[in-house]
Amino acid sequence: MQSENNQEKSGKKYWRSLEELAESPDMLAKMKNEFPSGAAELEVTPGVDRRSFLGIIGASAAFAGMTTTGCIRKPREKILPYNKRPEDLVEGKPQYYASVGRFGGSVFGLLVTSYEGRPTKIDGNPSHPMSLGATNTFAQASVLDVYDPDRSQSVLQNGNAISSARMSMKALNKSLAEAAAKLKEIAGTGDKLALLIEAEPSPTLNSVIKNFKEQFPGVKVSIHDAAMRWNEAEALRLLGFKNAQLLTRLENADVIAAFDADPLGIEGDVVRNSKMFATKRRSVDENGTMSRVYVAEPAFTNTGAVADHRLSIRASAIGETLLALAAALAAQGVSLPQEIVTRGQQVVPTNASWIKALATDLRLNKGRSLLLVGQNQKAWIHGIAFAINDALSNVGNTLEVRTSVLPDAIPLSQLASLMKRGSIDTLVTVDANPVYTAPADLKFEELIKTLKFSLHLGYHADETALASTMHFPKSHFLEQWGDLVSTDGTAAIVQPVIEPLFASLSELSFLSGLMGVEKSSYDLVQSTWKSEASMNFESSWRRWLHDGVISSKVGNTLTDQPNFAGLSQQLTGIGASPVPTASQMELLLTLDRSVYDGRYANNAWLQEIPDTVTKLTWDNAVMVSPKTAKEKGIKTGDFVEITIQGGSQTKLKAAVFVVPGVAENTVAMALGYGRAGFNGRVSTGTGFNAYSLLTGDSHSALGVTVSKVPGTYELATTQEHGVSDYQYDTEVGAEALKTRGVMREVTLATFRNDPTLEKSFKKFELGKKENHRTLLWKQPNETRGNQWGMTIDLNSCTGCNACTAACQAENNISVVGKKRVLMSREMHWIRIDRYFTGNVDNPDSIQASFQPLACAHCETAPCEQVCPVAATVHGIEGTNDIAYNRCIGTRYCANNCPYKVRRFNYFNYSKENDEENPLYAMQKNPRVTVRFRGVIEKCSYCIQRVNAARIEAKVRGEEILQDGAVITACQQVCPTEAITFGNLADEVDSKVKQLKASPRNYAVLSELALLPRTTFLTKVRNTNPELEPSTQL
Amino acid sequence: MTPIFPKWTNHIPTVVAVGAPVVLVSVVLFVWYFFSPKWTDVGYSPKQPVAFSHQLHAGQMGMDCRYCHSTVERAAFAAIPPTETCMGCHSMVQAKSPKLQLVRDSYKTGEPIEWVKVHMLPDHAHFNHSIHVNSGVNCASCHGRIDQMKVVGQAQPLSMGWCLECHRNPTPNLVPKNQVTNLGYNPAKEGYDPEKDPHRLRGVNPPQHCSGCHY
Repeated sequence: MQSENNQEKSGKKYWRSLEELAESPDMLAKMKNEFPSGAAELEVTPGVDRRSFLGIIGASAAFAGMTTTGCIRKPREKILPYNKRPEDLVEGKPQYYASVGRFGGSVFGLLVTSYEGRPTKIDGNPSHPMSLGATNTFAQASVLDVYDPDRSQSVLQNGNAISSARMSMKALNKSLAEAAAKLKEIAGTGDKLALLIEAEPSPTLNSVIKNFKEQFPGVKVSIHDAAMRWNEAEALRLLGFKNAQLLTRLENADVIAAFDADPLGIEGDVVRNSKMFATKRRSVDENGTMSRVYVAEPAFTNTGAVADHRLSIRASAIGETLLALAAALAAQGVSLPQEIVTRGQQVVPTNASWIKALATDLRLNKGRSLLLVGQNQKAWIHGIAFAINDALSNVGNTLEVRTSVLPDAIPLSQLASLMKRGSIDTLVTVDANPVYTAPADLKFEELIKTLKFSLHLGYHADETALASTMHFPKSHFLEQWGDLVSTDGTAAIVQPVIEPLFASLSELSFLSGLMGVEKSSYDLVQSTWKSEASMNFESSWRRWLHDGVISSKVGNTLTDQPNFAGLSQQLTGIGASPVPTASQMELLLTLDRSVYDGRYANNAWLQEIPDTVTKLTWDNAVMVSPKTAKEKGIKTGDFVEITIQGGSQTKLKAAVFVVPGVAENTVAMALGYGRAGFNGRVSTGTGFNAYSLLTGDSHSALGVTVSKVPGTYELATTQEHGVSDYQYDTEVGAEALKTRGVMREVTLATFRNDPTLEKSFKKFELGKKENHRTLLWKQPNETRGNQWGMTIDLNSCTGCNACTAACQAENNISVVGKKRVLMSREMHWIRIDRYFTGNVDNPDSIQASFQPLACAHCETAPCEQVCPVAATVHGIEGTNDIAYNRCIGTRYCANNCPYKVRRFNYFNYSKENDEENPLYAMQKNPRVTVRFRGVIEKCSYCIQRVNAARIEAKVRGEEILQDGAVITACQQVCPTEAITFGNLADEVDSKVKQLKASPRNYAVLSELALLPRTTFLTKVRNTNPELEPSTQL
Repeated sequence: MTPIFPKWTNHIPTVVAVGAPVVLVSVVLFVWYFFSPKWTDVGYSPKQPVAFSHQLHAGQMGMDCRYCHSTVERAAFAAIPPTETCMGCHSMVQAKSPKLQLVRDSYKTGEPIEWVKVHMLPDHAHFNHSIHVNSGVNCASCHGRIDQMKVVGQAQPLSMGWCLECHRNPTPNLVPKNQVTNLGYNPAKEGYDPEKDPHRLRGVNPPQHCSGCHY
């Protein structure tokens, strides 16, 4: 009760962790300190105490001083010019190539930055409709994969490299020819041959597979991919759409209802979805409108976090909730197939008022609403969702049925049963890694080892590579030609930017090679598109490569009337699902926001990016809600053993992470970690292999027992790092905890009643600038020239982490590893603070809010006042600059920074990274200084981009940069356009200047009068007044 | 009683009083000059793999700097020319000269010539040729009379203080844009005033804040 009283007194309570909410003594002690424990202490190798360590460094410093004083000249360096300079190349100027990639089930266009032939950064292609210039974390981090030192570099025979020497392309082709001959001998007409591919919508791959089928007429094609939307495809098949898929059009949706779906996180075309979703969120002003999002889900997703109304329901209850929704819609006069309505009337929903309110909202927004169901849900549930969307005339407006480019294929479970029966004895696997990602009960590793002959093409020498007879290294998508088609039918060419670093093959050349034809992927792709060219192929081809999109679309929109007869049949026999209890819990396995299905497990950037919700780095964990944890007597860091009941009795021991928002009596775990079978230098030792719990074709399982076992595990979460919304008054003590208005949000109704937001947040403000009597420092506050500033719209931020990844790629930010994240030493320049609100005992009341925080470039910056060597000083354009070589590492600035955004290089992280992963150095952005041990670093407003733009403008003869001339890396990547950067002193109003005039604009910790140049736009939740306060804000 | 200290010790205070400042000042001056780039870097002229003479090419023959350093107006780097550029002439001129053997080998094998870097800036300082050339800073202001050097050497200290001297008062080093590669052009003698130059599109305003160069 006390905390509720507090809440009333000091406004809404935002907490970063359960410990903070509980105001535990530990937490209060932590908050007293400037830095979390470990952040400021010296890290010494075991066996050396602090004193002797200081002695050692003292002596080495003296020695270094003796040898490197001015008498010795700088090192002798060489310049190696080009022998023949490539056309259009200017040394030191980046080149941009349009390409396309497939990331977590979405195909979108890319612009790849290359310096002298080295790809250093991947961004979105603005002219590609699925990207519109934005990307996501996977795309950002995939550039590092090119330089993955653990990428496969040699042909493996039964798991061993065929030669210890570095493989040449000639040797690789020789091995391929041998494999082809053997395949021909064993497979014959292919009656016992299977081809296992990933869900890659590529017309050229399809034509190669067609040829493959001609050569081996009996071949079975199977698709195994986490991104494959089997349930949706099956539902569409039931409704009469053959080989079809759904395209969401969120730009037309005013009401979005997501049932266990994550269209803004990792499901489907997230970049486009986010971009379109944001157009309906950013637009809000005091009298404007915005979309409303309802989410019912078993654990927090990005979509759930931005929801205006969120229900925590278990995955197995999604179907019945949707049936109840159908019944509620029917009761309001929406005509739905009778069978669905009858079924729905039998369901007794636990959240009747929520469902009724949603039904009303959907009905009132006919044609402008959208109901989405997640890929984990069964086909009949997708069918019901489609029926509802159809009845609401959403199909054609917010949803389209489109033909799929993927070839006809059987799922992995069918392939496995064929293998078990002995109907398959030869397997060609392209890209997929079924030994690791297949459900545990298929026992795929054993199956693959019983085969006569198995071939594998993959980027890593992974689990499947080691289990197969032969493995071939695959090229990165930045190294080979190809083509890909997006959900909306936009086709684009995959354009290589660099020669393969190691002898490797594209999937196209691999499959052609197996047919005995040595063909380059370039020729194969060209021959596919020859017929599409309007007049002159060469000029069309060049245009496609330049634009990054092919002019004509592939496939078409299906407008046939759905036939619900097949779906109605499926519904018979479906009843209410059993409710999980503490002894019979429900297990939910999800794709991971960092490593996806495990394919990015060896990517150091993605491993260190804190998860959207848990803020966990380097691990996954068993997520349970606080209530369930209390009942089971488990807490964060405890080990539990999860046992699946039934025949297989599979078990897994893993660590617990207690986090609000998980459905009751549910344990949720991310897939993709604990890759014991793959010896990657980054992936080793991270997390727990949740695939060992995956059984059947569903990602959720009922009747799971969870029991505490002895031992604890350290989980590196960053949720308590950084700034707190609470202020701890050291003199008064815990009583004086008060919220500081760091995170601000209002409901749309409140915003309309209080258009200036003064009533809501005045208590946090200092008032007018003239009244700042307490200011100690004279304000530089220049108003001439370019004065840089930024706004971040909290209303459209989905916490997707793309900005963190983009910043890491752009600014050469080091990875520090789990041990140092535990000491709060992560180096990310922009972090996303996640705050929870609500009552922990009522999971439906829990909401999450995100706040991306980087250096705010204060006009009266506290860091500048305390630097003893003037290493951090103010630039004339309002940026807070650091001259790295002046920094002596006192860390006073980090101490004095109220936002806690300064990062210190305790060790030579950059050198360590390069030594551990020798190719990483090739990714470095040459425009940004690589930092050395002992210096502070932080967001620079991408000053390298500012300077590049300034130089270009000055060469043209302009002093003032045009709005949009400088786009920061985080702004460029943001799929919701939440970040705006520009000139605050612009005469013609720049976009950022306009946004700063919004009443939603506020400065974090404005009571300190720091006048930060980065400000935030208050989050607005569009709550439904019909819903009772318990589920309201 | 014999004195404890001999008589000459009476001079010690005087010697110290006079000598200490002298020693101190000499040490300071010694370090000031001999530890600075003015001593350590100026005049550095390493032997190059090919005895290319700027005096011959740029001086006697009057080739424009930009014939070889073609990216200087567009990019941060002035770029050492590719072997191809050398062979553009030397496939016909001095085609058999033993001095050019390395160039011909390089052209044939595709292996680059390993030139030794003369002008070196620290990695945390970003210098951009294009903006300087386009602002009318004469090549000679930083590189000296390259057209008179048989072996290229560093003419200026390239230290931060030296950079800032010009950034604080750039006018003496500014020339009309079409005279940038005319190494002998003396703006003071010609009476050139950048403020009155009609071809200049903007004012003279070089950055002096840290992030102008350090990022």
